[in-house]
Order: sequence, then structure tokens, then C-alpha cells
Amino acid sequence: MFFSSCGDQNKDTTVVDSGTYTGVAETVNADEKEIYVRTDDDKLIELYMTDSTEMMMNGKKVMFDKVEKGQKVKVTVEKKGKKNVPMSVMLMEKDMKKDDMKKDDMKKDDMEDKEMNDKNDNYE
Amino acid sequence: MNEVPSLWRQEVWHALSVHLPIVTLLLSTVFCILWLVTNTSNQSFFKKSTVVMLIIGVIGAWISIYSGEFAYDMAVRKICDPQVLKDHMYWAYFAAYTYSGGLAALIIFEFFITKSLVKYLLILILIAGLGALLYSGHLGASLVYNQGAGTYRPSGDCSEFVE
Repeated sequence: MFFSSCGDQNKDTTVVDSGTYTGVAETVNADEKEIYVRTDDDKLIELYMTDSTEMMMNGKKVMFDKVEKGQKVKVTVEKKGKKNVPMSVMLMEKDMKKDDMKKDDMKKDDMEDKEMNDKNDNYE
Repeated sequence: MNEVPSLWRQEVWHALSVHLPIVTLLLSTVFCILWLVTNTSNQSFFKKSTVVMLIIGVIGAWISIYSGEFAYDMAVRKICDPQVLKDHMYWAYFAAYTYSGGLAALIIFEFFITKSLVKYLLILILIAGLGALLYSGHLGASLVYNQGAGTYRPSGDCSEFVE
């Protein structure tokens, strides 16, 4: 407990303009109900959940403990002073690991190659 | 109508516990310097004072850091610039570790052969700790008086204070 907050505080976070952002929950701090969201444009937003923050998943309200590290999220934030206040956090599917993505890409490539070969065979 | 919150709420424990170590740690540095610069007849008094102030201060510092961790959760959601709170916390940890190191050096001092070397080292440690302590205190004051951390803001008509 003594060191967890001290370590997190050195993260290079950005205060973004009010709006809606998609990204990945890079760090989830359950004790402080806090998440760090890495946005699609590579900004790190620090968000402390408040009593008025709505947390949704599949159209239903959920508790904070549903958020997992690496989960894709869509957050609506308001810029207040030098901080971002989360108005709503929508939990989306968990972010795919890079290896899995590579495998999927390779599968797609194989399929495309097969299709091409089949077409070529038909022409011949 | 709003209710006046209890004075025993979690965040107030930090204010309750933080002022004693600020004073005792500050005095430990002052007494340590006096221990170094005064003549032999007063040295014993200043040495004892340094030890007592440092022991009370280090124990108090860790208690106030513990209470500060609880206050953090509330304060970070209320204030407008959380970076000040983070810096306050960073320098508070720095001061607590530095003064703890000073206490360790003082204990070693009793058993060390080259006592004068440890004495000078101790003074350097305590001066570094004092710098961190004062800066952390300054940030703490700015959190309370500029951003209202840990404080209750009464309603415009103060109706909650009318019985």
C-alpha cells in the first residue's frame, strides 16, 4: 500500500479535452477505483471513478471490479481544472494480445493465398 | 439540507497526525546543527534532544503517511490539480525515508569508530530531510488553502449550521 500510489504517480499522464475516447485500460488500481487508459492516439489518461461515473458493459450497469487490465474501453470524460473526470466508462471486449493478432493475420493471409490459388487453378 | 460532516471523518486524521512530526523533525535538524557547533558543555543536551525529536518525528512521519494514504482517495477526487497532491506525497515519502535514514545513522553513530564522520553525515541527511519536509509541507498547505482538500464547503446560506 505504501509504495503502490507512489509508483503510479510518476506515470506520464495527459489531461485531455472533454469528449469521448476509446483505448485500453493499461493499469487498473482496484483499491483507489482508478484506471489509466491508453487512448488510440497514444495518450495516457488517469481516471478516478466517482459516485456519478456510469460503468456499462453490454448495455448494463456494472461494478468497477469488472474492469480488467488490457480491456478495451470507451470513456466519456470532462476536463475540470487540471484533471479528467470520467462521466461514463463503457467496457468493450478485452484487447487481443499481439501474438494472437499476429496469428489471426497469418490465418487471414493463408486464406487469401488459398483463395488466390483456387482462382488461378480455375483459370487454368 | 446539507449536514455538517463529522470531524472524525477519514481525511481529517491526516491533519491530526501530520503536525507533530513536522515540528519534531524540524527541531531534530536544528538540535543536530547546534550539537555540531556548540561547545562541549552543551553538546550532551543537544545530542539527547536530537535523538528524542528524531525518534518521535520518524514514528509520527510514518503514521501521518499512513493517514495520508487514506486521505488521498478522497482528496484526489475533490481537488482541481491532482499533480500537487502527487508531488506532496512524493516529497513526504522522501522526507520520511531521509529522516529514517538519519535515525539509522544516529544508531550507528553510537557504535561507530569514526564518530565525527557519522555526525557530519547525519547533519547532511537531516538537512536534506528538512528541505523535503518543508517543500512537502508547502504543497500540503497549498492543497488545503488553495484547493480545499479535506475541507467541507458550507452552503451559501449556512443553513446546515442552524439548529
